Amino acid sequence: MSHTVLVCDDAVFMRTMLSDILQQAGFTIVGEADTGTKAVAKYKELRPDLVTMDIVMPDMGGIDAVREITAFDPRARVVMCSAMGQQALVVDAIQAGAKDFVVKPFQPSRVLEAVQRVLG
Amino acid sequence: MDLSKYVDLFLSEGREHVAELSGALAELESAPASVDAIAAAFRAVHSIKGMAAAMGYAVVTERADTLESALDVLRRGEEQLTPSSLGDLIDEADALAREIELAVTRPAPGPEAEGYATPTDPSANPARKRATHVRIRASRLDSLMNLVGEIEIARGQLERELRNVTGETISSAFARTSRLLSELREQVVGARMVPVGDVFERFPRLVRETARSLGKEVDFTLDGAEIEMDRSILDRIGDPVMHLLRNALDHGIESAEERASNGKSTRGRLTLSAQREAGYVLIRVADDGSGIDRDSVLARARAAGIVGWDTDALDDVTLLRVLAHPGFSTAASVTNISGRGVGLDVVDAAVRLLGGAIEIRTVAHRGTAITLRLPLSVAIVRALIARVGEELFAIPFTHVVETLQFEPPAAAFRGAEWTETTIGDLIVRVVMLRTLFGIEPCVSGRMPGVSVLARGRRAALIVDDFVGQQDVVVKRFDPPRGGSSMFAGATVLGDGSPALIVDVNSLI
Repeated sequence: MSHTVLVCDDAVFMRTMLSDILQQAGFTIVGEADTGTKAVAKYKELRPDLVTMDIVMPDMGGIDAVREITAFDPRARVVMCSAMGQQALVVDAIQAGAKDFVVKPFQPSRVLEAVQRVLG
Repeated sequence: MDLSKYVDLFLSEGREHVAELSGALAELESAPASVDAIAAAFRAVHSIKGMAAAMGYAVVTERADTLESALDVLRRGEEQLTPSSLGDLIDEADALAREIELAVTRPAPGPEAEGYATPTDPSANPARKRATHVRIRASRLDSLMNLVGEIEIARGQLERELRNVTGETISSAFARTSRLLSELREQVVGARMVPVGDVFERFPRLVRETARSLGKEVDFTLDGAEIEMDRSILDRIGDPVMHLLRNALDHGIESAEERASNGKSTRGRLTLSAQREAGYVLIRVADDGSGIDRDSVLARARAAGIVGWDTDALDDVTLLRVLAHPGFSTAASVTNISGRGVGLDVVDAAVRLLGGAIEIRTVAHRGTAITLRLPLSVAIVRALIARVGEELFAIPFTHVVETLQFEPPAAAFRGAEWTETTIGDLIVRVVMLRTLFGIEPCVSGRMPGVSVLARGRRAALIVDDFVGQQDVVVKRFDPPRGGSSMFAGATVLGDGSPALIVDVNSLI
């Protein structure tokens, strides 16, 4: 059975692109979220194998969302997907419980590599 | 990775973020310290940057990055916003918006470039075709529109003066000038018009996604995407329309099981349509869902004191008034009943600001249709000109139902206040414009008035007499400090006399 993924980003564009990359590699996208609050709720509902998380989102940012998700499930596997210029926040994200990060623009190979490593 | 299939999505979502960005910057003009507005602007630019980088649009990425850094400094409170730095941000945002549009028009290098027709056939050459469009700043079109308005006013003055002058040459030259002027106005208004599809094109996807996340099956139809309206109005109704669509999906259309048990097709129907109707554009969101539960809305409205305890049923007009009551519909506990009005007050406010009006029709188990009636253009509205005392006032036709003669009750002659009258079977509130505007009241046996409809309510505005009707050029002004104005703006009539434009919404 293929791994399930929850894709969190406030841009439809980014969600579409990430979903395409992951689906082509055989993952199943079980949900999408465009705010941190929804990401947390969706995680609790769907219990995906993996979460990709943007950092800058309205209502609740990605870092707080990771913190809530790992508090709920310490074994949650989250990969941060941040844009350039947010490197400083990546440290915060890792401290909050994220397992790896990918910097936009996404190289499909880099995304898959990070994802495989986290799942491996 | 083939990026070409993401171009449309990049452009439509990029435009959305540009709109959010300009909205946030506009808010900063009036509230420079707004943390929310700075955060919203930052998020919009940040999203653009990420998307552009993914598409490989280097110029857009770079511009977004510069703007993002400037906003980040403000966001962290390291610097305060000044009028001049805000000006720079607005210029940067304009430049960014231009680059987004340009980035997608540049032909992608590679095989596509070879597909161009030979230059000997100009009609088939896409590059040549593109050259017939130029990009104009919206503010420049605004100034053109304003100038046309000013010339119209001057024409009116000229017409008055010419009444005392005879001469065939002069009057035919004048008639020709008038004709050319109205053509010019049409052209300028036309230049600001864009098809509603420009903004609505993102909705089918949004509806699909929302329906999927709610686990509902919905057929969505978009009608009249080619109908054109003023860009500045269109830009402001995207969010309200999205709100109505979400409401319909969330609270209107039932789950497949519920629909089946009510003998309905399991697939819900949702329609977004645009339609021209004599100087207006009607935007309608209609669903075939459960309709609004009038009883539960009524119960809440009674409890909240919005309607009296003696109200025992809500007609469509009262229903809208209740749902659009500030705060009523946003109360958290309403979201779970089929109250359906979630945030309708926000939609109502946005539409009113544009000089438009909302209408609602709902039938239990059959569905709900909400119509936004919007003027074609913000700059000019057709208005009824009425005299009150020595002054002339313009009442926009958006709200006028009919002009009537009203008979004040006997008590009014003895100085008692006249508060209610009947129109057909309806009892409506009377607004004596003389009293309202602080002019000595004057009561006579039959008084001219206008029956108006705004925010779902009817009222009778009593005037001294009607002078006529005309298209007026709206000059907006800010309401007086600390209060809302009774006027939506001012205009200059054909004879050069000024008239205030009555904001009917504020009187009801």
